[in-house]
Amino acid sequence: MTGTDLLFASVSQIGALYRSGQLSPVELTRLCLERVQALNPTLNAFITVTADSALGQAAQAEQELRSGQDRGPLHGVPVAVKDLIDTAGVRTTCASRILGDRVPPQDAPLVRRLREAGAVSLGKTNLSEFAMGVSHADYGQANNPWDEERTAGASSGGSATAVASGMCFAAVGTDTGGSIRIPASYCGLAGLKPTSGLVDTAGVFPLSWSLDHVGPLARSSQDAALLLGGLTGHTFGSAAHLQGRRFGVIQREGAGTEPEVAALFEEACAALRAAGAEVREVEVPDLHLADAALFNVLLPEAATLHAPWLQARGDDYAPATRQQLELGSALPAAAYLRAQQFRRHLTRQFLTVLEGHDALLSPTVPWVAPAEDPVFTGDEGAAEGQRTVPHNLTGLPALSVNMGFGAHGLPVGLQIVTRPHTDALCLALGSALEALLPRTRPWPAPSTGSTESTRQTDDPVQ
Amino acid sequence: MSAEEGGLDADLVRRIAALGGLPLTPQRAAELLPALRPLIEGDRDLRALGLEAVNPLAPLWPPDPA
Repeated sequence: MTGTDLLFASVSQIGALYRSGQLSPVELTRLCLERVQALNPTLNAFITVTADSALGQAAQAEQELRSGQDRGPLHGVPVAVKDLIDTAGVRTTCASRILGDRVPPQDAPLVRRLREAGAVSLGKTNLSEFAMGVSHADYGQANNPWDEERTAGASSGGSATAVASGMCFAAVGTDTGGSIRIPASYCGLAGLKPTSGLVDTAGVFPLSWSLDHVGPLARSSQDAALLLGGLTGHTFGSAAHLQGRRFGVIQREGAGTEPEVAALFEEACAALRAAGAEVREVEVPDLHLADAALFNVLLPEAATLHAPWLQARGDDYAPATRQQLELGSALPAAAYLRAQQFRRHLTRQFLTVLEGHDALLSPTVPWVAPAEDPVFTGDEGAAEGQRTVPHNLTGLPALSVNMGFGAHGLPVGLQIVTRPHTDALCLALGSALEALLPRTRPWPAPSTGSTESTRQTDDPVQ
Repeated sequence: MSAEEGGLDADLVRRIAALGGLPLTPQRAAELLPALRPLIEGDRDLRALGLEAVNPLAPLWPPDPA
């Protein structure tokens, strides 16, 4: 394999090369760091690159593998972590001015798990400010490797662009209304919002504590399953056949859905039918009210968390972030409580529909990556999240996988939703769909340093 | 019923935020009003469903309806 081939190999392929002695973790980590150095000025994927620490972890992995101490599939594999997840001794900014200098004293439990699994962390990835959907001017937007003039998606865009551009093999994101699945769709990745509670959110700066989820972004569902295994200590490796599966289609139509997205979704459904699956339209009652419920839960919870800073340091937020937090402060308690009532109601509706189906399918996002992320409380933001938001309310596992390329040759995602605690099935169905709909475009080769970064990078704080 | 008919105005926004601990100027409260209206209207749609009480200590997943 050439260097570029190696950077886009699967996690299993890398593991096989390590264990056969054809490749070393230090060698691959160096290649990844060179890629980061070359592409980060353009893509703005990383806020902090911990090069020395990564090389140290890689050297340790190399020594352990040579001595027969095998920590599993992530051993020696370069990954990245969204910069709202605590990392001991490494700046964790939430892409905000408010926490711009914060250095946590200890790792989040999920980071400890990744270390125990032997993963090599290259650093902390860019996000929208506090994961609220809009970039702070101090950090700028994470750009899309398929078209650098477009967003990689909010809020886990740094994690998504790092993986899609071959800087690392998988990355950790968070998802409160679609923040893993939307960037996955825009960047052509597999991105899973797991079942609520499956991945520990301790040490992850909350956006909305009852809606937040942590999950993997990777170039395939299989790699996402391996990272999820590292995050949880469980195995998610089952395979799934499509013959005889029963899929329900929800939200085929929706505000702003581009014709190319609708056409690709139809092709995917036709391919599933040709593979022996049953695909039919289903209705989830009251699903159209999900947006109203999400905002009326998310905004008050976020406002409560930010109350001390909002009053004392309001000007340090991006204007749109500040406005959304102020809106949360101005909502009556009854609105929050009714939205929580609705969540239980909507969950029951989904579980009833899922009694007769293995999974529910929809496009992930109505369009391909736009130039900038919309404000999520506006009309465009609501349209962007109309198919992702419901599953944060219910906590069901929801995976976005690539289903092809739409307008301007940009990636388009398909969302798979399954019953609670069937994350392995969700990922296995994702793998089966990826095999059914093989990629028609190679991974992107973004320009190197052609545009100026909006801020300092490569500044590890140890 | 529209937000205006429900009595939502800048002064009410300012008073609700103040009760929650966030002082807003009258001008800022007025600026928030257009973005707040759809949220209040969304709540009216949820209220119309007449949903049952939620116990936050209840199990995360409801019993299987089957």
